[in-house]
Amino acid sequence: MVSRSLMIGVNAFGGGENMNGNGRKDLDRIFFPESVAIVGASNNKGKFGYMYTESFVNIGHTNIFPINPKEEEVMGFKAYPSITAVPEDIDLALLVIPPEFAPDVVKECVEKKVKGVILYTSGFRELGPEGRKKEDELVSMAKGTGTRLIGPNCMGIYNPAGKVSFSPTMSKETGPISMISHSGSMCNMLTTLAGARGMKFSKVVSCGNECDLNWADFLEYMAADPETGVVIGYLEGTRDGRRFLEVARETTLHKPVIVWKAGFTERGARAAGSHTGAMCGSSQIWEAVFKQSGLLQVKSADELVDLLMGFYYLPSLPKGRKVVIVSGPGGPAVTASDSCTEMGLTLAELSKETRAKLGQVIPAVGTSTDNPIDLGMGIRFNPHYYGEALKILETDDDVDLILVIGGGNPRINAYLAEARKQTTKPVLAAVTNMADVPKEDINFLIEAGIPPLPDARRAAAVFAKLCNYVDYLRKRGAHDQIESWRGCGLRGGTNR
Amino acid sequence: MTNQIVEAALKKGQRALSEYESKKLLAAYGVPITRESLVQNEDEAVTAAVEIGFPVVVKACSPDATHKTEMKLIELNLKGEGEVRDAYRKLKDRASGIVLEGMLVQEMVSGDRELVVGMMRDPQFGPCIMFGLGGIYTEALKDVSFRVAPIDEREAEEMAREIRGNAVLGPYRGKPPVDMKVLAKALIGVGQVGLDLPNVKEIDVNPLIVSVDGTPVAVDALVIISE
Repeated sequence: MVSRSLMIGVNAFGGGENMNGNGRKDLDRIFFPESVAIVGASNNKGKFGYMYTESFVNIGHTNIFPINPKEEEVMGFKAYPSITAVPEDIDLALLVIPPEFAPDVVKECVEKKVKGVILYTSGFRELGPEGRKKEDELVSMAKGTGTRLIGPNCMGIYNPAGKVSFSPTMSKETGPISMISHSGSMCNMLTTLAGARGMKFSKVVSCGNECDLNWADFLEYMAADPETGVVIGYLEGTRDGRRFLEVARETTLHKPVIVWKAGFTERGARAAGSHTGAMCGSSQIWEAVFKQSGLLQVKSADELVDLLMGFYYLPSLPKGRKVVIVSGPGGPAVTASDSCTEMGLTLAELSKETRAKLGQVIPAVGTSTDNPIDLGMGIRFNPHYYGEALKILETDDDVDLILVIGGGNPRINAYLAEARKQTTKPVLAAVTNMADVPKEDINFLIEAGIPPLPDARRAAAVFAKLCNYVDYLRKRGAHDQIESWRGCGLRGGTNR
Repeated sequence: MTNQIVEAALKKGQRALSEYESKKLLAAYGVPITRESLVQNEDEAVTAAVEIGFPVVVKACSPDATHKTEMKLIELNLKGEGEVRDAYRKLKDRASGIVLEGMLVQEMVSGDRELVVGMMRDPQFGPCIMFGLGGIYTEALKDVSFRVAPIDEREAEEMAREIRGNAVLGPYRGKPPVDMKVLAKALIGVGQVGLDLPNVKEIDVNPLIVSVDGTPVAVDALVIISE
């Protein structure tokens, strides 16, 4: 979106006001606007003014006011020369205009008592001290007036339930995931990746330079939002760390928050300067912040979406770190044991009873009822071994997590799905050669509630992070949260 | 909030508290310190040493003496009156160039496990607490953990056990485990100083020596202050 630039140190100016009852109501009007004005709306298909209008049209908003002195109408909606010319109230205004026009338009928005102004426009703080001054001017104009600013240098908000969108191709379906991001392109990337695994969103916020409303403000909003079951985010830094930590600690008690924190390394921090001009902060202190806040840290898109699947599809949170590996192939079972141990899980000791029960199902030769459980080459002709193993392990109290090596094959999938309906323990499948497995077979596993991962290491990483979250909830005394959790993407799941 | 010790030092134009002042401040916040006495002459030094019990350490005490070992302003392991008098005179000599608050006579803590506890201010998160392996290799090892203040006892213990060298905290080579309750109080305490006293810029307690019964004791402390 913007070119690379200098990293700029900042002061505390620009922090959002703390959320109070009024603040929340105002934000509701921004996420669920009854009327939307798009300043810079255009009939020219090459312009962002066209794309944003199309976004609102496609998501189903019907009360749109294009603002453009050069147009009579845009996409069938009567256009107006200015915000003040609009005869109705405007809840949300989107500014898709060059930065030099922003001050006048923001002034009009304040006069018109617009609830939220999304400044798509870049060319502010992220460019340097001159830009910062311009940004600060916008903030002073709006401060205390009831008009809140989002951005600049952002994509704004996606909320299908409120008919708000920042891209013409976003889904109209709603789900339990909400996202907050300092980067617009991250929003696209992660919603696409998650969408490809069947996961749906409630709200997505691209908050850019956060000159007014910031990451912590939106997290606070999501914390209290009954439609949000899990929060994910891309975070470059914060200007008010203590408030951020306070909001994070409060939020994580009620729902999981997965954060991809950027700017850990010095070069990363420099690159991040181009988005928010926020100081990324010492990586050691951020490590501490993650531990104290319960925010779950990931360092790649895959890690984020893998863990998200864990909260979306798994029926329960793990009560401990004892994992059982159930495998058809032998070699991968051994390396899976390594991965599990490396990630901080322990291999469960199966009880005599469990082993006896397993022994009644699988043949005595070429198998193992130890952990990892080796179902043997016979799974070729007896795919039901997988299902039986899962059902038996459900009854062993010393088993917290089950890692299946295999799956993908439709016959095995069917038995796994059937067993999954009767069990509650978290199960992940490490699908061998997953990239070559037909999409419908992968989707089958996802819909059955057994998230498939390409390898045991990634699966173990998910389990470990789920366990870390449980440990954190225990540390904070939130034991009910652990017991009552149901995958938020499941029917009757938490927060749906 | 303000603090008498800090206020007085600021009025005198000090940029740091002396070891004695630092320890008094930190002791009030739960950091375990050596039994010690600030003396102004040789006879007082002897009286103090007898009261504390031999062996003792004598140090030049001054807000300017921030690197006492390098500046040769410490005399260790003094086992009797004669040695104390000798040490006192030697130090008086060596300290002739600096502003002296007095001489510090303190108990000599023996133990070979050394820890460091500190507080610094992060621009985003405010007062943060540091813990790690201490002593002369602190900077080389960089085996430290951090937390944003305030923390509770559980968090304090967690941060302590996080360091790579955490085996040192348990029973180690025939020595008892470090007293976690005492250590936790120290960690909580330096964080609280940071929260209460905005004039305190940084705290460095290095080393806390783990004594033979497992109790960590701060044998030195540095509190940096600013307006």
